[in-house]
Amino acid sequence: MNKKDFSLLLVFFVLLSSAFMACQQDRDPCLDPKIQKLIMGAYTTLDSPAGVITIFTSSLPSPIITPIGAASVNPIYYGINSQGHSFALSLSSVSDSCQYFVQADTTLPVGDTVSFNYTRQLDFLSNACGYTYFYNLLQISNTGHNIDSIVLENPGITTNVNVENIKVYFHTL
Amino acid sequence: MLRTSKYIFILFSFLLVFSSHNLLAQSTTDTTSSEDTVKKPKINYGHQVAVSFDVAQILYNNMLSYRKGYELAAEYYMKDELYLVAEGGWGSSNIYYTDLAYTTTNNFFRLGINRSLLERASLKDWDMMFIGLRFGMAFIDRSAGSYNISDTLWGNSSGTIPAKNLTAYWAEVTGGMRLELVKGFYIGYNIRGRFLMDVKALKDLAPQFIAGYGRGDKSSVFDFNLYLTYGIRWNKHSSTLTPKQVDKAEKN
Repeated sequence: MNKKDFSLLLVFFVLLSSAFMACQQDRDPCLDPKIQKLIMGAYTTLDSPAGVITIFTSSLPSPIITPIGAASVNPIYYGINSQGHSFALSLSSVSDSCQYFVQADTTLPVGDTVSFNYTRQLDFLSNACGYTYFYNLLQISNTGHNIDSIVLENPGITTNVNVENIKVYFHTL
Repeated sequence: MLRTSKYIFILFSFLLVFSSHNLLAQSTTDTTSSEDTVKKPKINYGHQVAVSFDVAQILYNNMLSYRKGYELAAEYYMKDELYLVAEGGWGSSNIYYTDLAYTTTNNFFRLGINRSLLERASLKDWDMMFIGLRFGMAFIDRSAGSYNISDTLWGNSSGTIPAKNLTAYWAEVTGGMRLELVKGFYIGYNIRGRFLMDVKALKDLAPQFIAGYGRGDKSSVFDFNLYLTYGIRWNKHSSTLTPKQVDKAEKN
């Protein structure tokens, strides 16, 4: 290879590397959720006269879900539900427990209080996103006006949003 | 799975470097046997030590406010187009975001070889295109870090992460070229693919920048250097060639 070819290759590389350098930035955008959320699945049960219990997923067409004791008293879900039967609830990152008011439908006269007890684990997401808390659910308790029972399916709450953490079984509306 | 493919890639690169060495040697032997009945004398190109300064780091330092890095390299021509390479440098980063803040300083070194892939046009030809391998280590001092997790629903939380000394090590595949502009002075570049070997060691608060490696929160990174090089040569083609053979080789 002669000097001219070498020089051309070198110029090509310098142009290429300039383009690469131009793409660098001080901080990448954060593409992960910074607040990890508990995924709640809603279900209803139907008792048949023969004693067989059938379980249905319930889309809760018009629910009310409100955090209790949070900075904001506004419901995070109210009325028309486009979430299907899964609901994402954030847990308190400043305490090891929190509560939600859950009403299966706006037409119902009463709702339930659901209490979550958990441990928090600080986790480094990335330089783009900083730190977050992962949670490990220990115990869930609830009143029984609309809710029949709650089953803890997956106690770990992380960046994986495809895992249903709890199943909430409502009385048939 | 990702880790396995990383090690397969590194292994493949090792094989590539050494097989290119053997192939070139084989090709030289074949040519010799077909053209000459008398064994061709082995050409000794002499020795060269070259020292390089990476100007790309200076450009990076001016473009990216959070980092500073400086890199030097030295290489020694051994024989059969193999070069022994030692690289080193130092750097720092200063991360100051609203939700994350810390600083790091680090030194590093890389050791390895380069293998020139081009046949020389003459005895004075030290231009090269090459591939090479490196092993790198960085010694990092990370300050205490502070974080803030913003949560409009339940309230913000903040805290500190204790300071820590970290060690990062990685394998590296590289390729590039050098062009001698005037006698002894070269310009050239390296393109590098780096593979962090102990990702877990940096998991707690991976440095945004490690001089010599790059992004500490990535297990593999791509990088390049733009080198200005000065080479010193001695014992120029002194070995088994007679002056007549040297003249002939230089003419060819």
